[in-house]
Amino acid sequence: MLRVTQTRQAFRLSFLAVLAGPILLCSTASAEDASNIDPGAYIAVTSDCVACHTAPGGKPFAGGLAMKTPLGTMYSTNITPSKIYGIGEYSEADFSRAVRKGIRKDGSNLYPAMPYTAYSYMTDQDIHDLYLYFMKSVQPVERAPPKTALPFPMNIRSSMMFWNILFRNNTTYQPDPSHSAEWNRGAYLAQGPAHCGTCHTPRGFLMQEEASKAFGGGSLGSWYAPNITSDKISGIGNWSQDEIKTYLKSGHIDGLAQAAGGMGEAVEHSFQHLTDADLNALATYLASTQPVRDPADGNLSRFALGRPVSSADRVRGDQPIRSEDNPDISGAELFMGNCASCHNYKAQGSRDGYYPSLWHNSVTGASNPDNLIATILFGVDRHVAGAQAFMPGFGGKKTDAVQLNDQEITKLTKYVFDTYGRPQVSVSPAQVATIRQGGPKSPLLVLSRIGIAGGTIIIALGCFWLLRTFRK
Amino acid sequence: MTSFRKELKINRRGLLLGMSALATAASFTQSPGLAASNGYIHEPDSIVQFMLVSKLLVPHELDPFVGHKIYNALSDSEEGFDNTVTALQNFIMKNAVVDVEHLMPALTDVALKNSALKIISAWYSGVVHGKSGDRVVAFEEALMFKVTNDVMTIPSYAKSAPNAWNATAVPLLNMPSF
Amino acid sequence: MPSTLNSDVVIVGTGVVGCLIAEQALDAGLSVLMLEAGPRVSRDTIVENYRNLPPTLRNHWNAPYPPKPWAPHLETRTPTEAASYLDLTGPNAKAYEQGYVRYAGGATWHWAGICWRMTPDDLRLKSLYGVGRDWAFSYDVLEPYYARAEHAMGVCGPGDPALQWPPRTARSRPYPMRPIPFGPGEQRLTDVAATLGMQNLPAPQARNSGVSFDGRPPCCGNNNCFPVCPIAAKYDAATALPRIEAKGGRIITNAVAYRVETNAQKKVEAVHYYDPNRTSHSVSGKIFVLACNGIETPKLLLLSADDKNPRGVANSSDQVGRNMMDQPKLIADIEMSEPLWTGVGPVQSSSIMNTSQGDFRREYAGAMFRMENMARSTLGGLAALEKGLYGKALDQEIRRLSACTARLTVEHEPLPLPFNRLTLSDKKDWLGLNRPRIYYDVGDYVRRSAENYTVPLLKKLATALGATDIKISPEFLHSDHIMGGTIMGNDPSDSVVDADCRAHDHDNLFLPGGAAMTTGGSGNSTITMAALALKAADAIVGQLNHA
Repeated sequence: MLRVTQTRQAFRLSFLAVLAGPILLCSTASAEDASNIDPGAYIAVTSDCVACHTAPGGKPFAGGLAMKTPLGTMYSTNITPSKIYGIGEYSEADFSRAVRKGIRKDGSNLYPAMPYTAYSYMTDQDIHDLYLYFMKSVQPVERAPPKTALPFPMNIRSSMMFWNILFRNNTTYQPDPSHSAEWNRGAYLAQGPAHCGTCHTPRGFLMQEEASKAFGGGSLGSWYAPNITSDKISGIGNWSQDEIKTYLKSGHIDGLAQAAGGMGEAVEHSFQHLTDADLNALATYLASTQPVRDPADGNLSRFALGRPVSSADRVRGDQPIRSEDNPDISGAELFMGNCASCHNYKAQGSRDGYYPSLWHNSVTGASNPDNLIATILFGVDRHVAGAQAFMPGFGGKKTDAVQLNDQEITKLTKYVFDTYGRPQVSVSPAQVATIRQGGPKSPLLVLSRIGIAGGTIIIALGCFWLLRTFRK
Repeated sequence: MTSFRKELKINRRGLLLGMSALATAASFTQSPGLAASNGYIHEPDSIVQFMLVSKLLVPHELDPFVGHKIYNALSDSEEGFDNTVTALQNFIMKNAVVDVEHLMPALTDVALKNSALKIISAWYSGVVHGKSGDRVVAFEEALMFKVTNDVMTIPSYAKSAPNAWNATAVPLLNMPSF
Repeated sequence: MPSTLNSDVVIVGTGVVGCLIAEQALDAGLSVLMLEAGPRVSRDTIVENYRNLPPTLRNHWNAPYPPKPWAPHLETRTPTEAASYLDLTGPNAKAYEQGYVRYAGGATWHWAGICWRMTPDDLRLKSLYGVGRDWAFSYDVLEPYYARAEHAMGVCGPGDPALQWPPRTARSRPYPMRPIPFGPGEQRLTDVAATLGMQNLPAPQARNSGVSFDGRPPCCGNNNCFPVCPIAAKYDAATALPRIEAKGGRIITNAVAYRVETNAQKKVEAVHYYDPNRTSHSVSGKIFVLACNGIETPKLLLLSADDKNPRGVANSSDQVGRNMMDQPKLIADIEMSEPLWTGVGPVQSSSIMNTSQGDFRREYAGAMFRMENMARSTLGGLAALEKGLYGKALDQEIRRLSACTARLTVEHEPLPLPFNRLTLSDKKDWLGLNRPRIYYDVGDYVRRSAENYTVPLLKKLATALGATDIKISPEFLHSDHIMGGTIMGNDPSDSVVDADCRAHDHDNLFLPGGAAMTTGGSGNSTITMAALALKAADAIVGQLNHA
C-alpha cells in the first residue's frame, strides 16, 4: 500500500495503453468478451500481477516497484519475456514452480511478498494460459529493475525453505462436490488467484494464515483488511450477493463501504475487470464462509453505526477570525475545516453519493481505527470504469497540500468515531505515528541479528510480515 | 434528533384548539429526543417559548442549536427580549393565528413587528446585529441557502461529484421543501 | 537575536511567482531560502474564518485573512480601514484598491484561478497601434513558458482550438486537463452573447477538472474559489509550500524585508528583514528574487535607497514604481424577468475575450467581458429580508433574486503610463516603514473605451439577457491585477528589468511577476506572471550554473 503514496497517473496511462490492445479488459469492453479473447490475460488480471510488478510510470510487468519496509526496500522483478532481465528463458515448468512454489529458475527462493501460497491452488490450465500470455502477449522490457538487497540476515533466501516445508500448500484447488459449480469457482478464485486470504486472513505465531479464522481480518502495514466472513456482526453476512458484487466491481456502496488502500487497488486492477459470472461466484462463496466473530465488535455491525449530526452546530457562533492556527483546535473544528467541505457538515456526503457519508460506513464503524487514520493520512485514489474516486491525503506524504500532525489526526479520528461511527474507539498519537510510517516497526531485524530466537524461523517471520504488508 | 424534530412540528390544530403554551412546553422539554440530542436536560421555558414562536414565524424545519444561539444573541441585543417573545406568543394564542402570513398584518405594534422580523432575519441570514457588532449564529443552517439548494450549493460545500453539474435550468416555481 | 543566513537563491515572497522559482531552483540542486512578511495559516483555519464571517463580509475577499500588524494589507470593511494601509490618490484611486494577501501563499489564496494568456498583439501595442509599449520579446518566446506554467499549476482548458485563446495561435502542449462544465448561467450567457458576436469561452483555469492533479483533489463545485478554495482543487501557492520544504527549501514567515543592500560592484549582497519583535536580520546569497507582487516589490526597492542607490535599488531609469497598471473595471448589476441561475460550478469559469482585440485599439482600450458565477443566495437572501418579507413571499423573493439577478463585468486593458506612480508615503506602518502611496488615473484611452465601446456593449448584452434593471458602477473599480511597477524592456534607460526579469542595474537581482509586465492586456495577469517566473528561473539556474 505504499504504492498508494506514489504518483500513479502515468502508470495508469501506460497500463491502459499496453493492456487495452491485447486483452480489452478496459471498462468499455465487455468483460465476458475479454475473457474469450485471451484466457491468460484474464488470469493475469484476476491474479493482479500488474499491481506489484509495475513501477509508477513504468512499463507493465517490468517490475521495479519499491516497497519500503522496516527491514529494507524490496523491488518487484521484471516478469516480461525479456531473456536477459525477465522470464524469457523460463520453461512452463520453471514458470509454474516460481508462481506456485516460490522457487526461481536458478533455484533460489522468492520472498513471500510474492503470494505463491495462494497461487499454489491455481490449476494447471490456468498456469498454462498465464504462461502463454506472459510469453506471447506481454512486450519484453529490456531493463533490470533495482535489485532487492535486504540487510543480513534477511538476505539469506534459502531460509525460506524451512518455512515452506511447514506452511506451503502443495496441491492445486480440489473442488468440493457437495457445493455447486459456481461456489467452487468462487472458492477457487478467492483462495487461489484472487488471493483474498493473503490480506484478510489473520496470521498465527509463525505468520501462517490461521485456517480457523479464514477471512477474519488482518492488519497490513498502515491499513486493516477487515473481516469478510459471513458473520452478521463482524463480517459481511448482512450484505446481499448483489452488494458484494457491486462492491467488487466499483469499490463503492453508499451507506456501506468504500475501497481504499490495497483493496482500492485490487478493485482497480483486478475485480472491476472480472466477468459477471466470476463476481457472482465470488459473492456466492463469500456468503458461505465460516463466520468469525470479533469480540471487540460486541453486537454492533460496523456498517450500521452512526447518524447525521451537525458538526456546524458545535463550532458556529462567536468564533474569532484568526490570523494564526488555533493551537487548541477541537476535533469538531478539524472536521469542519478539513472534511466537511466534501463530506458535508452532517457527514452525510454529497447528494449523488460520490462523497460517502461517514456514518453507516465500514471505516468509521470499525473497532479498529487503522483504516480511518490511514484514509486521513493517505487519502483514496481509485480508478474504476474510467472515473476516479479521489480523496487527498492530509499529511501522509510530506508534499500533501494540507499537513495534519499526529495530534490533530488523533483528535479528528476520535471526533469522527465518537460523532459519526463507533464511539469509544481508542486512538493515540503514537498509533497515528505508526500508521504514518507504514505500520508497526518490525523488531525482527534486531531480534534475529542478536540471535535471540531461532534464526530461520525469525527470517520466515520477517519475510511473511513483508508478504502481509505488501501483497495488495 | 428525529423524534425531537417531530416534536417541533407543532401542529396548528393544537394551537387553534388553544393548547396552552405551558402544556406544549412541558411535553416539549420532556421529549427524550431533545435531551439526547443536545445534552440539555432541562430546556428553559424561555427557549421553548422562543422556538414555538419561531416555528410560526418561520414555517420550516428549525435547528434547535441554532435557535439557542439566536435566542442568546437577541436576548443580549434587545432589552426585555423574553417579554417580547411572550407578547408574541400571547398574541398568537389570543388571536388563534395559524401562520405568519396572518400574523404579520395583524401585528399593529411596530416594536413587536420589528422584533418578529428580527427573529425571521436571524433564522434566514444566520446573523444577529447586536450592540457590539454582528453575531454569527449560523452559516450552514441559514435558511436563505435552503431556498435555492436544489441549484446552488452552500458556498464552500461540494455541489456533487467532480464535474457532475450541468447547464440545466430549474424552474423558479420548484421551491425545495425544508 | 539578529541572525545572518545564507542561501544560493534568496526569494522574498511566497506567492505563485516565488514558489514557482523556488521549486525550479531546488530541482536544479540550488539551496533556497524564502522570506514571507505574513503568517502561515492552514487552509482549515481560513475556511472556518470564511464561514464565521457575517454574510455581508463574505464577499470581502480579504476578510478571512486578517493581517498581522507587521504585514498590513488592504481591508475594506469601512472607509477608514480601507485608507489604513494603501495611501491612494488621483482621479481613480478607487480603481487601485488592490486586495492582495500578505500570508504565506500570497494572493493566489483568493484568486479566481483564471489563466488567459496574452495574445501576440497584446505584446506589440506600440508597433501595431501606436500606443503603450512593445514587449522585449514576441509571443513565440513566451509561449513555451505559458505551457510550462499551465502544467506547473494544473490548468484545465478546452482541447478544441476554436475555443482556445489566443485564437489561431499554435500551442506547444495541450492543457493538462479538460474544461470544467458550464452551469446554467454561463451557458445562457454564452448563447445570448453569441447573438451579439461576443464569444464567451470556457476559461482556462488553474482548477482540477474531473481528476486529481499533484495530489490535490478535483473541483466539486464548492463555488468558493474566492475567498478560499476549501479543498485546494484550485492551485494556490500555499499548496506548493510543503513540496518546497520536502525538497529542502527553507521558508521563514513573519519576516518583513525592508532593505536590499548592494555592494560596490552593484551586486546585491543581502536582504534585511524585521521579525515581529522588530529585530533586524539579514540574509546573504548569490541570487536575490523579489517576488512580492506589483506593490510591495517597487516599495521595497524604493525603501532601499542609500548613497549608492539614491533613487532606490534598481532605479537608475527612474521607472521603479511608475507605469502602475490594472484593468479598470466596471460592473453592471442586472435584474432579469427570467431565471439565469449563476452559482453552479466555479465562481468564474468563462469570459468573452474577442472584445479585447482589434484595430480600434489605436483609439481606445480593448476589454474582457464576463459574468460572475457566484451563488447569489446570500445577496438574494439579504435583499429579500431588507424588504421586510416573511413566509412564502420571503422564500419566493429570495429564490427570485438569487436566480434572476447577475453581475456582469468589463475589464479594460490599461496602458503603461509613467504618471501612474507608486512612491513612498510619509505615513508609516506598524514597523515604521513607509506605506505605499499610489497615484492612479485610468487615462483617456480607457475612458474613451468605456464611453464609446464597452458601456454601450455592456448595456446591449444585459438587454439581450432580458434585463429589466441595469445598474452600472459609477466609477472604475480594481481588478486586483497589479502590473507595471518594475517595467520590462530592452532599454535600461526607460525600463527596470530585462527580458528575464533581471534588474538592468544589478545582475544578481530578479524582479519577476506582474510588476515586470510591459502591458497588461485585458485578461487576468497570473498566468503571465507565472510564465515570466519560469523564464526568470531558467535564467537564474543558468546564471548560477555558469558561475
